[in-house]
Amino acid sequence: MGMGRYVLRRLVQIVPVLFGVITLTFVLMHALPGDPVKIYLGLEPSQELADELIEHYGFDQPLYVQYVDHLTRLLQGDLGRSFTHRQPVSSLMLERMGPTVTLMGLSYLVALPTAIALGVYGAARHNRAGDHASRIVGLAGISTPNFWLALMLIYVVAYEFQLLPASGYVSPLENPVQSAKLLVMPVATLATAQMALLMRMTRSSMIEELRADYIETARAYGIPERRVLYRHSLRNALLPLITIVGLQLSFLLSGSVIVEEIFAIPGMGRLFFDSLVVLDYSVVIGITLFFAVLFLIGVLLTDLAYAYIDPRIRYD
Amino acid sequence: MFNPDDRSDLNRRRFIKSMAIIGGASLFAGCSSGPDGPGVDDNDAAGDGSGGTFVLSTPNEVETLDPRMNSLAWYSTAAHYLFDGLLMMAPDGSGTAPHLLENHLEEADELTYVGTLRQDVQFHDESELTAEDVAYSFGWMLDPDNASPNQADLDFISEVEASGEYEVTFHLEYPFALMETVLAGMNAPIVPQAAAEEMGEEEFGVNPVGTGPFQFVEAESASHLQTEVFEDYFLGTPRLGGLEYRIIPEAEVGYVELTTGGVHQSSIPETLLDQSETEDNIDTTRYSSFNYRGLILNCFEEPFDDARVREAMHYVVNYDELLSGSVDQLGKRNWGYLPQEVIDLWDFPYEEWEEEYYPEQDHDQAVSMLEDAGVGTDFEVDILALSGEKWMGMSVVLQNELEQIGVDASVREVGTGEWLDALDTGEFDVCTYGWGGGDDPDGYYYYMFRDLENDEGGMSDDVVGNASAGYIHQAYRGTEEEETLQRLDGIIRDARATLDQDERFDLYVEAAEIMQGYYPAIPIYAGETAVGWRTEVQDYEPTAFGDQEVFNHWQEAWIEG
Repeated sequence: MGMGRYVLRRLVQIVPVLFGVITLTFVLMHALPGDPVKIYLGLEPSQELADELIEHYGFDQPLYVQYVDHLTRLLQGDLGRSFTHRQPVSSLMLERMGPTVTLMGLSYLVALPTAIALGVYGAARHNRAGDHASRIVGLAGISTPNFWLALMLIYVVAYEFQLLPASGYVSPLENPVQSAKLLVMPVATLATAQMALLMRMTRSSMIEELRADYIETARAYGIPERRVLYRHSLRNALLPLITIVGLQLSFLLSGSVIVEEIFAIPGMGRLFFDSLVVLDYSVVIGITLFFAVLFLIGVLLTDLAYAYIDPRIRYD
Repeated sequence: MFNPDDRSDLNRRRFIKSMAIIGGASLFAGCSSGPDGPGVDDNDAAGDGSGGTFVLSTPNEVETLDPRMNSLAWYSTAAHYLFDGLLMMAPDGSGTAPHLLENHLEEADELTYVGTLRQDVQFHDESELTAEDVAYSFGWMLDPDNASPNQADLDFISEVEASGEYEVTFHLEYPFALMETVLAGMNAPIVPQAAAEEMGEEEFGVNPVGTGPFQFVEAESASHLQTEVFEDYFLGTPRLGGLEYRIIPEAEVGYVELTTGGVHQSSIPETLLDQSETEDNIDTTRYSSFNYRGLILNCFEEPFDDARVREAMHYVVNYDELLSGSVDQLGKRNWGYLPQEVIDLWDFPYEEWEEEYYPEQDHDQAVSMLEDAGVGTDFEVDILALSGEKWMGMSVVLQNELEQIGVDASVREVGTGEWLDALDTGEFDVCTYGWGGGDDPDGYYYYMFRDLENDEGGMSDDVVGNASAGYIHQAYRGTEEEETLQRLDGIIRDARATLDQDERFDLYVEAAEIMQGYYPAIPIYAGETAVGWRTEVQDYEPTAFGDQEVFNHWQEAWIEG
């Protein structure tokens, strides 16, 4: 099967998955206790305002009608309106997308090369001091909750030494220097656990490859160790790493919720969390859908990358 | 650092907004108090907008910048910088001063008041303020089709008429003791008719135009709100060049920004209060949040349907332990379901109330009373606690006390949605409750203890009663107690329509004594707010009452250096 047909087939397969995601999110959101209008308006609400919200957003309709309405709108490319922000979900998401994509992208950019370098270093010095050090770094990174790390960074870097601002966001396109200052701590927080996991994967995968017969053969032929490491074993060791990189998109989303909240970054993670608290259904479904698409595309790209890295893998 | 309690504390949204608006000293409502403090007098300001940009942190993002549609507490404060009201509250809460009005409203008859507008007021779009703008603003908010959240607070107004180019006439539905304080708040903002009609609600919500000392520059709902000085402001040009609100969800991060100079003002979380006192570069203050926190006893549910059992609960608890179990430093005992500051303002006889209705802890007495009531200690108590440290703290203290006398008590921690549902359905024995009512007893008694059946249109079918009153009106319907409780409801309603303060005092004392005698709740504390600001900010001090505090009739802040 050619790559074009393979991609097309995978894209078609995404449709039922997205349908399932929408349905599941819709059902789970409506299964949560509480009435969104009551939560939004609080105690002693204005009855007029409550009635207006209920009618305008169709909360008085049977659940199946709300579901069909929502699906119909989605099929027309309309993500609906947020009843708390009183604006289209799509424009809300567009407004918040920049900070989240920047944060996640930079986290990947930091985590991936660092993880590969440390993983290769650890594997090359298996059971020696350097390996133990990299394992300790990895274990600490995985074990450290990102909210704790974020608070410690703020306490030490922003409060004690006053090296960087504690919170806020400026687009890199608007003010690159200020943006960089503001993004160092959030990116470090989000990238740490990700880097630790990828580093451990790289290390174990590399150790396995370095024990393989073809590596022994390469060494016997007198190929320099550096070339053995980077040209031969790393390329094969990257396969499991690529799988994890694709799947880690969901990890980044959950991490961005906490990081955006603590560092006051106006991104989609914060919007998702705030909308979940007030049961703003349209926003939660919209963001879930966006991340589902992102995740599925990530998985597809991962699969395509397999074939590029290992020509033995075929599109069938 | 995450504090779900803050998110789910509904007082934060609508009720503290009411506090901010009703938060003036309505004790003196009806009395005139002109601006007599130091600082700015009309058109006498020395400012030129060169005094720097004042940056404040606030935890919640803003959903609309139109104060006619706003239901967020912090924006009710911020909106004072973009919009003006007809009156303004004094920073010490001692009364209102004419603001857009030349003088206080004059009473034509009990239901009609007339006021004259200043003739030197411009909107930010350079149009002139006239009576038509005032009539339009109130008419818009009172129109049910617009579903303004301010409508409920303005329902004492029948119509506002432009009776001259600069003269407005208020026609009231009923006399209202808090009229002047409402007109001083952002539940009664004045907007330009032409701009509001041309833009429509959605556009006006993102490009607001008012008469305030600062004009809108730009905003991102989750990030910041930026304003710049309005040089043609009718009180003169402020010294500050602008104001910026930064949205910082976590109070601890806001505190770091404050101490490191990222913002000029931030609230101080309770955990950092002691630390804040050691910082050289910030000043701090604490003031009442004017709210009520306590535990409701469900009068529908056995054994709390018996007043003797409810009274016994007051012997079970130790009020000081309940207080310390709920808050560390930012809270004080409350009396008669009112904060200490309201008690002090009105000089209510709280010591007599304490002696009568707040007994010392005495478990033997409690058990004896429970036995007299025929229930003993062989019953179970389901305590419903709204998620959050304060609520869980008070619930667990009560649970422990109940278990000490042999009563099996359990605590259920729930989120906001489930808690609100439970209040409507009454599915609990004991439930945490909080309300922000401002500095007037009406803010507590009318909302917490009136009989909903007597509202216009009656009680909604969706609720079983007034939860904050432990459903006492509904639970005692058809009993010999009904007459007393109807009298209580009548007193509460009369008190808000009575303009004479001595009469209101007597009415509230009577209401408090009736209500406390039924023991529908265990009152625990009233919260406080701690605020810090940078020492380079000059001529400035935030208060519980202050509106437009960086530039108003009394003070004019600027930033040194």
